[in-house]
Order: sequence, then C-alpha cells, then structure tokens
Amino acid sequence: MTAAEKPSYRVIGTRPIRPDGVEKVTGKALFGADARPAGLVYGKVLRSPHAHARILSIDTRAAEAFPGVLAVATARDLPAASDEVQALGETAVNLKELSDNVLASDRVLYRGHAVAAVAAASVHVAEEAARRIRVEYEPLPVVLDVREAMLDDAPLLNERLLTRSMGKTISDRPSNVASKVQFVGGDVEKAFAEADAVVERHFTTKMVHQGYIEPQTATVQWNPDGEITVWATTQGAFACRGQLAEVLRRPASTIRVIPMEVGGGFGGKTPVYLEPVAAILSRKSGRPVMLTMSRSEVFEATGPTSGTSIHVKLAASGGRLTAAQLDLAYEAGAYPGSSVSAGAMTMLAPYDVENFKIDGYDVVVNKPKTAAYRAPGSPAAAFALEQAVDELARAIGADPLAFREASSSREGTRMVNGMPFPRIGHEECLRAAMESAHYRSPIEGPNRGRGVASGYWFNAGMQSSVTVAVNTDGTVNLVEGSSDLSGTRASLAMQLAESLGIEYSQVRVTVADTDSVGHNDVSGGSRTTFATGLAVHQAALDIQQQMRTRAAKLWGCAEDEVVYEAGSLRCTTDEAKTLTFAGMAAQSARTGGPINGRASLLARGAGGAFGTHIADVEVDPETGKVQVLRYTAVQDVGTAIHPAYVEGQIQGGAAQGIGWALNEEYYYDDDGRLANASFLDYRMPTALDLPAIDTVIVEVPNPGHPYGVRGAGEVPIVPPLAAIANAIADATGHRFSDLPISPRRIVETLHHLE
Amino acid sequence: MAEVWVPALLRPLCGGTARLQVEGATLGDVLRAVEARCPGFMERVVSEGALRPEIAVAIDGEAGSFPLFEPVGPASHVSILPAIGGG
Amino acid sequence: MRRTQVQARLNGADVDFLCEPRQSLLEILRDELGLTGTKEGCSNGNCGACSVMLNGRLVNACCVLAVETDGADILTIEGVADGDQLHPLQQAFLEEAALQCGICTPGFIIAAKALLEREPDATEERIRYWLAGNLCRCTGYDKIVKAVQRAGVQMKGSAS
Repeated sequence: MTAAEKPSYRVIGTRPIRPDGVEKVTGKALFGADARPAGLVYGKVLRSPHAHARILSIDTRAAEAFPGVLAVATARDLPAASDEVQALGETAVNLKELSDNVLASDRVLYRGHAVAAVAAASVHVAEEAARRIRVEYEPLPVVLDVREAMLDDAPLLNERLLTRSMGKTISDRPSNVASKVQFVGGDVEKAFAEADAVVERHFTTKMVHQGYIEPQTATVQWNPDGEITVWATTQGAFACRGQLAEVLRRPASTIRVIPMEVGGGFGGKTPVYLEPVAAILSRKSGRPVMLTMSRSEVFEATGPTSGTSIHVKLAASGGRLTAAQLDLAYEAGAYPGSSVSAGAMTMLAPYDVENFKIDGYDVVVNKPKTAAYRAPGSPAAAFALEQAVDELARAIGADPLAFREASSSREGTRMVNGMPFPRIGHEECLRAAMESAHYRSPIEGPNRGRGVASGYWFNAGMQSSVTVAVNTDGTVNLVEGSSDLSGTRASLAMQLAESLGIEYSQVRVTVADTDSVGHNDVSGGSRTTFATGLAVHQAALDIQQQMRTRAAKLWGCAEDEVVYEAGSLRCTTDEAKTLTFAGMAAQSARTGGPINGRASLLARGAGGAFGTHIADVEVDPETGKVQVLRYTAVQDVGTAIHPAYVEGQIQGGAAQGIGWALNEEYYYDDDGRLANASFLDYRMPTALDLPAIDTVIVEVPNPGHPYGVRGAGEVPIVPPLAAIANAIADATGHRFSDLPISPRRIVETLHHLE
Repeated sequence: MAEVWVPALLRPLCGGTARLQVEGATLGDVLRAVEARCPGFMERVVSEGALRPEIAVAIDGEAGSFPLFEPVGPASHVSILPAIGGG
Repeated sequence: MRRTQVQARLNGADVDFLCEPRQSLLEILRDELGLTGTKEGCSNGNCGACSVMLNGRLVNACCVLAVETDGADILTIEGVADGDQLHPLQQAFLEEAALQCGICTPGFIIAAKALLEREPDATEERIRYWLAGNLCRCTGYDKIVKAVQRAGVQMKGSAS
C-alpha cells in the first residue's frame, strides 16, 4: 500500500511506551512465580524415569511420614475424567488424556511424565520426600521415531487407539496413527508427466521447544468451602479455568484464575500441567501451594512441537509451480493431537497449485505431548516445501523470488481445503523482498550464500470480551482478559484511543481475572490485537452511541443529528452545540449515570498472512559453524498498530526460526531419555549468534478489521528454517534436508562429500 | 446454489466429486442436501446435532466450528475441513 | 536443617537473614526477602534471568550460595532506579521497546549496567558478546542492543 492510500490515524502507527513498561523494567511486575499468598507452601512433582512403562504400584507412605510433609498427591486423588474432546482455544483436548498427562494413572508414556507430588513448607523438603515415594514400574518397549511408530509391528502406546479420519475409524486394528488427513485437487499424475522439471526430496525435523524463559509455575488455594483461587502463568485464564474445572470436576464459577504476567508462551502456556496437582495438594494440606518446574522438567514434561518427516515431490511447467505431492507425518507425543492438519493446510498456501495430493498423519510416540508452538505445524512444512521450491527454481534457471511470484496465491486462489483466499499480501511481500536493499546487494566471498523463503499462517479470531468504564475526568479504564504476552495492552489501548478520539495516555488497561471480565479465549493464533482489538472497537462504538443518545436529549435534537467525531460530539443542525468526550464524561452523573462500553464477540474476518525472508550466511567448512551475516524479514501485517512491537514480533519469530534451523533439537537416546534438557545443551540463539534482523512491514489491510489488523506474531517463525537452509545450500552446494543443520551435521556431510 | 467443497476422504461417498452445487439457506440445510446426494456424508461430519469436534467448516473463507443454523448465502462457498489441531 | 545468620548490604541498605547452607542467593532474595524482581529461568547459570551485582561483579544469583554473601554488597533490579527516577537503561528499554514478555528484562538491565559502567562506548559487537550470558526468547535481541547503545550515550553524557 502506498502512503497515499493509507488512512491517516492519530494514534495507530505511533510508538508510545507500553502501559506495563515501568513495572517490567523495575522488577515490580508480578509473574507466575511471584505470587505470595499468605501461608504459601511449596511442592515438588515426582516424574517417571521410564519413557514407557506400566505403573504396578505407588507407595507414598515414606513420603507422608517424612518430617515437614503436608500432603501427597497421586492420580487416585483426581476424579476419573470422561473420554471426550473439548475445544480449548485453537486446539481440541481430550480430557481423559489431559488428566492422565497431569498425573499418570496406570501407565507412563514418556520420561518425565508426572506420577506423584508432595507439598511441604520448603521445596527442598518436598523434593527429599518425593524421592521416598516408591513406584513399581514394568518397563515397556519404546518407540520414538514417527515413521517407526507408523509400522505395523511398532510398540503401541495405547491398545485402544484406532486411526480416525473425517469422522470415521479407518483402521481395523490398534495403531499409533491417531488420525489421517488428506487433500486432493486436479490431476497430479498428469501434471508430473507433463512437467518441465520435477524435484523430489525427503525432509525431517526434530522436536523443538518454545523455550520461554519463565518455567511453568502454578499456585493454588483450595478453601474448605470449595472456592479455588489460582495464580497462573497462562496464555488464557479462561482456558486454564476450563481445563481445571474439567480435570477436578468442579463448577467453573468456583474457580478464580488470576492471570499473572507471563514470561513467554509461544503456544506452550495453553495446556495445564501443574494447576490441578497444586489444587489437590492445597485441598489436602489446607494451604496455598506453589509448584514450579525446573528447567529440565520444562523440557521433559511440557509440550514441545512435533518432530516431523515430510516427503515432497514438486513439478514446474511454464515457469511456475504446477503440481505437488506431499506426505507429512507429525509426532503428537504421548497423546494424539499434533499440528499436522495445519501443516498440511498451510504448506501450499503461498502458491496457486492446480494439482496436489497431500496426506498427513498424526502419530503418537513416547515423548511429551506436543503443544502449540507459534504457527503450529507450518514451519516444518515450509522448511520442506520452500527448499524444494528453491531447488525447482534453480532447475529451471529462475530467480527464486521471481519463481515464487509467478506461482503466488492471490485473492480468489483456493487453498487445498477449497477455501478461496480473501485479499492477501503474498505478492506484495515478494515484491518488497525483491526491491529490498538486501536482495539487491551482491553476496560475495567463499562459503557464503543467500536463501529466501515464504511462509503462511491462518491467524485466528475466536472469543473476546471487554468493558470500558468512562471516568468523569475523561479518562477511561479498559478491562480485558487477553494475557499480555508481548505488549498487547499497548496495541489495545491504542485502538481504543483511536476509536474514541482520545489520547493514549487517557486509557488505563487491566488484564482482569476470570471473575472480573467475560470469557476470553487464549492469547494465541496471533489473535489478540485483531480479535480483542475488534471488541475494543465495538466497545468504543457502544460508548459513542450512549453519548450520542445523551447529547440528543441535552440538545433537544434527534439522535441521528448528533455526530461523534474525533473525540467530540456535535449537532449537525446547530453548529453551536458541541461537547468534547471529556465534557460529556463529566456530565454522566446528571445525564443518566455511568457510561460503560462493552463488547463480547466471536471474531470473524481473521486475516491470514504471509512473510518472505532473506538470509545471508557464511559456513565454516572446518568447524561447521554457520554465521548469519544479514537477515531481512518482510511481512504483511495488515496494519501495524504499534510498529515497534510488530518489528519485535517479527524479529523474535525470525530468531526462534534461526535457532530451530541451526541448533535446536530434542536429542533422545535409544531409551527415550532426553539428553539435552538444559539451556546449556539445548542451544537457543544468544545475542552473539544473531545479526540485527531487519524488518520490512508490508501493510495490505485486512478487510475484516476496522483498522486492517491481520495479526503479526506467528508468521515470522515460518520462513526462517527454509531461508537458512536455502542459504546454506547456496553457500556449500549441498542441500541439508534434516534439521537442525548443526555444526556436526555440516562437518560430517561436507567432509564425507569431499 | 451454494458450492460445497467435498474433502478428498469423503469423495468416495459422492462418486468422486470434489464440488457440489446444492440448495440450502443454512449450513444444516446444505449438509442435508449433500447427504441426499451422497448417502453417509452427514454422519461423517455431524454428531449429536453439531459439527464433530474433529471437523471444521469454512463458509466464504471464514473457518470455524459453526452451528448448523449458520446462514449460507445463495452463492456461498462451503468447505469441509479437518479442525486445526495445535497440539 | 540448621540455619546460618548472614549480614549484607542489599540495594544500599543493611539486611540480615537466616539461611540453610543449600539455599541459593536467588532463593533467599525471592522467598525470604520478598525481592521477586530477580527472576528464575533455569537455576543452573545458563539464562542470566537472575543476574545481580555482587561486590561489583556480575553474577547469576542461582549459582551463589546465600551463606557466601555475608558482608557482601548486593545490587538487584529493585535498586537500579533512583527513587522515582528511572535509570537511563530502564528508560531506554521502554523507549526502544526492548522487552516483550519482560521476564528476562531485569537480568538484561543488570548485566548491561555492569558493562556500561565500565565501557559506556561499548560497540554493538561488544554489547552482543557481553550479553551472550542472558537469554531472551521474545525479541531477537536487536532492540535490546539498541537500548543499551542508547543508554550508553546518555550515561556518558551525564557523566561528563
């Protein structure tokens, strides 16, 4: 969009200081582990040393007798959960499996699976006592690799699991394949037969973790009257409450979840792990109980994203992409529910491909149950597809961005599920990338290379509720319920100020607990600035309407003669009659009482979005070290409400993707022991590993939002895996199809070649 | 007539057809009209009067777990798709 | 377990506390003294979220036993602002949008302060090297580095 087409906003597009900023730079902001209710005691969870075993018995007597112990919990303390699937935010959750994942009942399915827990006055005492719990296990065969788990003779995680597909059971015997998805269009065989060039390659990625710096922690107080208070670090206080209510079989209204500041989530702080256990310990001890995971517990027992195995066959004809045959197998971890369907649906989204056949498999393995991780399913799919696209462009002698542009999706292009795209911005991203100073600069020198890649994410709508109280001095209080993971208090306050025509500084924002605001779905799916923003805008319109009604009465004119504009009311039939927002607010007590705006909605019109990244790397063939020399991320965000935080989202997503490409992986031994469950060995990028990541914000407004917001958080993690891999292929002449492209893999591969 | 995109795994019920044109003012009407031409379709998509948890529908590009009373326009596009799992 | 009495200076004031030999400085700060601004990210010295100054040296509070701090001078994030006057680093982090979730921010500010007090002219590469002991998973570090550079300029200006 050119500057001339862009609507002029007063607040949107500026870079004010975030409302929670001072608390966060002074150490006053209270995160999950900072809750300190009176009488607080601490707990520790005992976890399985086996990746797969039957639990024969649990003897807690020695722990209960240990001095200082206040309570011990096992799965026997949880009510039996029903075997039903519930929608929780972006994901569907089976509550029996959720309950078993919280505390294993008869079987442990991964190393680190919670088995029991102890509460004591100090965490050290709880830890010592937990070690005295005797658990008798019968170890079972372990299956860790997704393709091995799909074999007929693979060890089974669940003898009752049958393969489901589109509402039907399709396997006649138990399997680790929980479900299959398939998308077919056109005539793939014919397109391959007629192609100018065909590329076929197999790719794998390993499980990786979101790597939020704040470990999972939960503090729960269960009073004798059944009232439960939870201090949680969660992406969704209501999702937390909902899961807790189901696992504990308690009415939702008896549970109050207080959302503490969240020290990073990226999708991983949506499921509950500790909350139900802390609740049981609190009920039994009569004290508020805090459970906090160690870093190794976070790695071993919370939800990483799937390891994958993806087969790709692509064809080009007439200078564009014409056919794709794709096979995706995703590890779900211990229980079904990987992001394979999203992977299968997003994989071809950047391109208008007439002929395709896509098969996707959701497979259980003896690793932790996967959770959402930023654009779940899409990065691994893009890693595979965008490398094959790159290879195809080279095969036909086309510039990789020009080839992508020639094949690009646009408004009206059908996704593989038949959905036609509304207005989207992939072509705009490609053009911005081609025109960038980065892409126009030469890449020179030995062992250096450049790679590009695109990526897509749906972005989500879902449910939001907000209230806005107008104070008599003209300030407003916005009460919302979307966990602020990254500065959304600012983006919401800015939209409210824009919609009411008041100053940003006049808005105070509170993320409220579950007793104090209507239902809000999780902060996930890049939805908060879009969907809660939509609710904020509607609440502002509600206030405008109430003020117009009152002004009409004050002025003795018709309501439709009163206009609300730029923070003022005026009468269209009498120019002398005007009132500012603050002027009307001051009169609220005399004109009908308090003015409160409210909105509750199921947001429609979420705008999917694309990004295109450019990476320059230098590979040291002796050590295998990859230095990222320069990195540019182009992304269509619709409209950037607070550009600094949009840039931050793009930079952060790119950084996570670069880590995924080069170093991060869950490294298991044959027995299913995670060998690198620490930040020392699970190597996330440091400041020294990364260059300054340049951002190019493209704004193709989303027609489904009054200010054109699409959502910015997830798209930027999709392209980097392939952009880096393509750059390494350019630098070394070797295509690395397995992640991570670690120094060891590079040295082994290049020296073998040489 | 609304256009319905039949997912690959349900096409055997519809004689292999990927797209059907059917009449219907609501999602429920549309699905019943497909059922009339593709017996067995309904039970794959709907259970106890609502979309199955593993199924989603997109109406004119808006995907979600819509109620069966959701209005469908005369030129609407309806896709049946798997619900997005996020792990 | 028998507890030991420790006396120290904390953010410019005298404190004394009792601690078990196995308790880290991080645990005492957070659970005994109520200073929860110092964060726990890994408790094995790999993330820097618990960075504090101990006798003028940058340390990870999770790797210091509390009993070792008898007679020591400790600075935590709670002691960085001067009354209602934010430190230039704190102001720069706000203006550069150098935080997203904010959990790593106290550690980064302490670590960056340790650098800038010695090297206000630190280059981008020097800043990146110095801060490599602090993990941030949200920002990609660019805005953090820019904030530190900006604060360096300001600290140098006010010192001269």
